[in-house]
Amino acid sequence: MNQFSVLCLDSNPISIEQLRRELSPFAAKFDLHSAESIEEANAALTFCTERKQTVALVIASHHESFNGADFLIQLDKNQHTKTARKILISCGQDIQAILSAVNDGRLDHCLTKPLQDNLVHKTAQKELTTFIIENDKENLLSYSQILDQHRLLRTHIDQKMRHYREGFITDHHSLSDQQLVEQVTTALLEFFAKEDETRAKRTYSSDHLLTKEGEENQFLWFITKGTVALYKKDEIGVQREVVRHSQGNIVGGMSFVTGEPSFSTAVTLTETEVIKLDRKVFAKVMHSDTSLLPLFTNLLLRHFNRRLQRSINTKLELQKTLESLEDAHQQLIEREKMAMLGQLVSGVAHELNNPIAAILRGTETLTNKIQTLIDERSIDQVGDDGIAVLQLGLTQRPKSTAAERDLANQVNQKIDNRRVAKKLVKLGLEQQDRWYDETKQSPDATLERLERLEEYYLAGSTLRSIGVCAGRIADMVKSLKGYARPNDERFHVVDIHEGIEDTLVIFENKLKFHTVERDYNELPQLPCLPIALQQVWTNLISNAIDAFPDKGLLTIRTELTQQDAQQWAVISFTDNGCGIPEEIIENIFSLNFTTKKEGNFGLGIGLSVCQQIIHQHGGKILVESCRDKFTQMSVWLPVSQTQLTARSHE
Amino acid sequence: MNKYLILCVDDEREVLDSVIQDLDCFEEYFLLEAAESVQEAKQLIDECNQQDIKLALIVCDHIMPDQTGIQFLIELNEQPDTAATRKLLLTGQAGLEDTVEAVNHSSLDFYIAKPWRGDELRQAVKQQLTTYIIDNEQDLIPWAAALDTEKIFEAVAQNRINYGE
Repeated sequence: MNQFSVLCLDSNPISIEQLRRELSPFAAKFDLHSAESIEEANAALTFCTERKQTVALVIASHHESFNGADFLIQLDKNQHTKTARKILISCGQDIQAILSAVNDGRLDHCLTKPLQDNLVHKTAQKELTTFIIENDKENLLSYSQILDQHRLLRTHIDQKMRHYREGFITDHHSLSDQQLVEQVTTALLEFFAKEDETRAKRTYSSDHLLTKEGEENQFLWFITKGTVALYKKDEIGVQREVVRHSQGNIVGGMSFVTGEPSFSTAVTLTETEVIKLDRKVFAKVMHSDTSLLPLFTNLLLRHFNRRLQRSINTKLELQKTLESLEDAHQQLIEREKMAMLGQLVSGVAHELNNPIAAILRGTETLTNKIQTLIDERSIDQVGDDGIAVLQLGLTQRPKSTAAERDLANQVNQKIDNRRVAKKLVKLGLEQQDRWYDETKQSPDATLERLERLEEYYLAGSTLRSIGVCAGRIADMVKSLKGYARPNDERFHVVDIHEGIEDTLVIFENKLKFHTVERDYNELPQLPCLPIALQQVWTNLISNAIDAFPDKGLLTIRTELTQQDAQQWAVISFTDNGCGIPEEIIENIFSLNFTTKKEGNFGLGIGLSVCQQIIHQHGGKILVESCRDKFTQMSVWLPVSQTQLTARSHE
Repeated sequence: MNKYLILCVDDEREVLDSVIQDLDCFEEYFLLEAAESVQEAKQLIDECNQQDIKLALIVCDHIMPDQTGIQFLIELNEQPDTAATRKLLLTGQAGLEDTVEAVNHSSLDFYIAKPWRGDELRQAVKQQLTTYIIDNEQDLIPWAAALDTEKIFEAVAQNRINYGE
């Protein structure tokens, strides 16, 4: 039994006979059924259905007394016969029947009687060929003896080409990387088993150089066993391992495909078996087996795509790492600030002790004396002199102790009473001769009067001293407050000198042993982050102090300079300290560079933070140093034209 | 009765004045002087030496220009004229290292932290002066009123026993 069948329907047995004769050449591939009535035809169809035989072609005759057209139309409604080609043989009169067969029954061909010889055969051949091309694509060539050989062949080739093109990539979807590698390996090994003139199959010992970065490469190595590492030089010339390749991976692929110099250096790590192909051998292999080209292309594509995937993943991870580094960096800067602040606070806390001590002592003195001072008898006793010395104490800065002592010595020579002399000087009465006379007449009474007066003087001078000390405390607190910077500090227009002066207050006790020279020139007010800048001044001054010799000299100079068509405010800090060795001067702004030991100021990343802050201001920080002579750090802040004019309009 | 010098050194005038004020009560028996720098203090000590006035006690700040208080005290300790001087440091900020160095050079007799209390300072100074006077003065009785009377008398008694009176 054949897979397909052909059915002829005609009420005329002679016609049937003619049809059968003409169709007989197809019998090899198609079972031939004939029917003389519609009933017989339906029975034949049922028979075919039962045998699961598909009807490929129905040829039905149509005339007044035989409605073949209707039979063809109902075929089209039936699932089983839908695909069958339909030929109507008409007597040429019933045009309506032909039209409805065309319209309703998708009639494929219409013949009119009388039938020429061989016409049915030719028509059937054409229709069967069409049927087969649509319904038995896989076996086209098996029909070439009986059907339209030319059409079948062309369709077959088209089909194959389309399939080849379409399947080039997708055919291998079902293969795992491993399976693909195995297929390619097997195919390649098979090829070279037959002949291997170029010794494509070879085994390398470990440490064998395959490609060298930047050099020409003519070969493609297909690894069948072992491991190859790829290295690439980074910008400072250190070889970095990029990836390790093993079985199924390809070395030299990129330069082989693009013709560019090798991207990396490939070295075998172990004994490695490879198939080494140059372009000629490669072409030869691919020609030998057409299925190998898509397979190999697939392998190459996968190889590169896997590498791409890896590098994308790496990039994502790097980005994540970069972000967390950024966070860590921010934290580090924050910690540097806190460490610095901690040390400043403890320094300032100590420094605060002096004025606080003076205030506390002064308060006690006043508390002890106040009762006596406001007593009427005391006031009577001192009279106007009391008011005068109180006023003096309140307003006048005391003479230096040395000057006081000199004066006291002079007075003592006249009256020979050291205690009286000292008090006269202290109370500013040494010009009044009457006191000398009084002392000579009654020294003890005079001393007592002077002691009374001194209490009034002390009340005044103590109040004055409390005021001075409180002022100093306020200054220090103000300078310290400057360090409590919020992270989102905004730009303000300020006088740079103020920030520097505030910072110097903080370092007052450290600078006591040294000299600070100020060479301030007029600067316009600049928009800046004042507190961030104060951190810069703090670092620069602190570094200068650390570098100082026994007698340090810090020169702070400010000036306006023109450079590169740009006005700059240049603030330089020059110390006469140990200097920075030439070999490390390049590194001083690096984040991980410090020469300081634990317990030094901050965390030792001060300069790197300074540089960042200065860059935030669009400025730059320069260093110049000479061993054992000096170090000069200059901060350059850009000054815009508007600030200059704003200044001149002030 | 010999004259002795009490010297206060602090570069901050307000602090110096309040120290002097606190020690005012000793002026009757001692020469009380103030110096605003180590330089001035040295000069003053020299001058007094020439008049045969010995430095009995020095109250010194630590952080000062030129020289730290402790360096100065060590220097004084190394000079014969001032070796016996009682040495007090009055400071808010001597580091541990400096202080240990001073103690080890036996250059520090007493340490008072800023801010201090008046009676505490006077008490410390009185005790140190008492020790100085007992160690350096033959005739102790006149000092009994000004200094730690009990200790002075004890010392007098002790001396008598020692000299077998």
